[in-house]
Amino acid sequence: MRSLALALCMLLPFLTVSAQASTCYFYTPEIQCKASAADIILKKGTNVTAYNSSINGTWIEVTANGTFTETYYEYMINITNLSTSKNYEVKLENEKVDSINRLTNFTLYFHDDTTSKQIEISDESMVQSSGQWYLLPSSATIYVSAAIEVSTSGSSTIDIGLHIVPSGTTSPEIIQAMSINID
Amino acid sequence: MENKLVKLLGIALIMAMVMVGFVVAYVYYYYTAQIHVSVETPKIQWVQGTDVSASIGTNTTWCQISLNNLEPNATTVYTNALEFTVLNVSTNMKLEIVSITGTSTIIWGIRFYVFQSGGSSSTLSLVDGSSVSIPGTDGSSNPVDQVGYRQSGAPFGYGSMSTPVDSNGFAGTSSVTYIIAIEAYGKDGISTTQTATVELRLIWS
Repeated sequence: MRSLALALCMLLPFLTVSAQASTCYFYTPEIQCKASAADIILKKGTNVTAYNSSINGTWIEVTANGTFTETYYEYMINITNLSTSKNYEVKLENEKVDSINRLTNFTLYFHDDTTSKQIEISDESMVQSSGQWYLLPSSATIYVSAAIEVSTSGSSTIDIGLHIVPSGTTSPEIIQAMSINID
Repeated sequence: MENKLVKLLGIALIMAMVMVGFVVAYVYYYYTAQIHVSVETPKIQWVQGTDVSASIGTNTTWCQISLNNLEPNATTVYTNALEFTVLNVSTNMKLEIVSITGTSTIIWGIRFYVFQSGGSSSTLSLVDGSSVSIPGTDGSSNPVDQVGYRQSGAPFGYGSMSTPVDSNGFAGTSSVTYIIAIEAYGKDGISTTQTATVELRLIWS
């Protein structure tokens, strides 16, 4: 009987630790999400042969002709800032390329008064996958242009993210999607 | 005479049985356990992030933030939506998306990332294939923990199609502050009057 009591006394600290280890504490923040109208919308330019876009103009897919000598398309996609008071900065980032092995040249630029090279594929390799931030003033439109040359017939698709931040800040960062098909 | 006596005895017996039944029905048994409840120091505290203003409770153990930029068919990333500090004790922790209420369908997909704070920055690879820079971290490109939810049809990478859903968990270090970044994808066609509430839970165990 005495040895049983002794054994229980020895086990007691471990039982206590075990009970403490199973204690959980819950801290519950509440995250409210509100839908917002987009300030930046995408529209097809004059140099594309086909396009699709989302209801709210925040996603676009365009198609352009691939040529065996380099062709410069000045107006592939128009990017418009609908806000009359807020300036934004934007940049492009490559997300995925299908059939890169026929792209001799695929170079994307922003242009308005100035030009900014954003993405470059040369001789079937990604040379530059994202660009520098570029100012998109309130109520303004900038344009995406492309220099394109292909080595064989077929179809390639480049998926691109348009990153958007309010001027002078780094967050929240909004990413809209563009797809460019090269036939 | 003998029959009357037997009848009386029978009636008396039945009455006694009925009475016993009533008595038994009203017997209660009391077993008393003493549960002592005492106030304890919080294990974590919420700290306002740099992206959005947070409403934080008096004891810093509850908070609320509003994400006002959920755009249709676009991804919005809050690189520092909220922070929390582990107080005193290192322990295992995990995140749980408990529920999404309100017009939950406006959220096509949402993912929460936890980074350890520091003097460097991290490049976070997003579900949609692009990437963003998370400033003020320990420099690791991998978050220490993450959990997400998606609707049917949304990119698989956002995570579970049901709630509650738990993260894998991480070892929270005492006196270290952690950053919560949020990637949210608004469903196409949503309107500005719609809202949803995500109940998140940080579990300290």
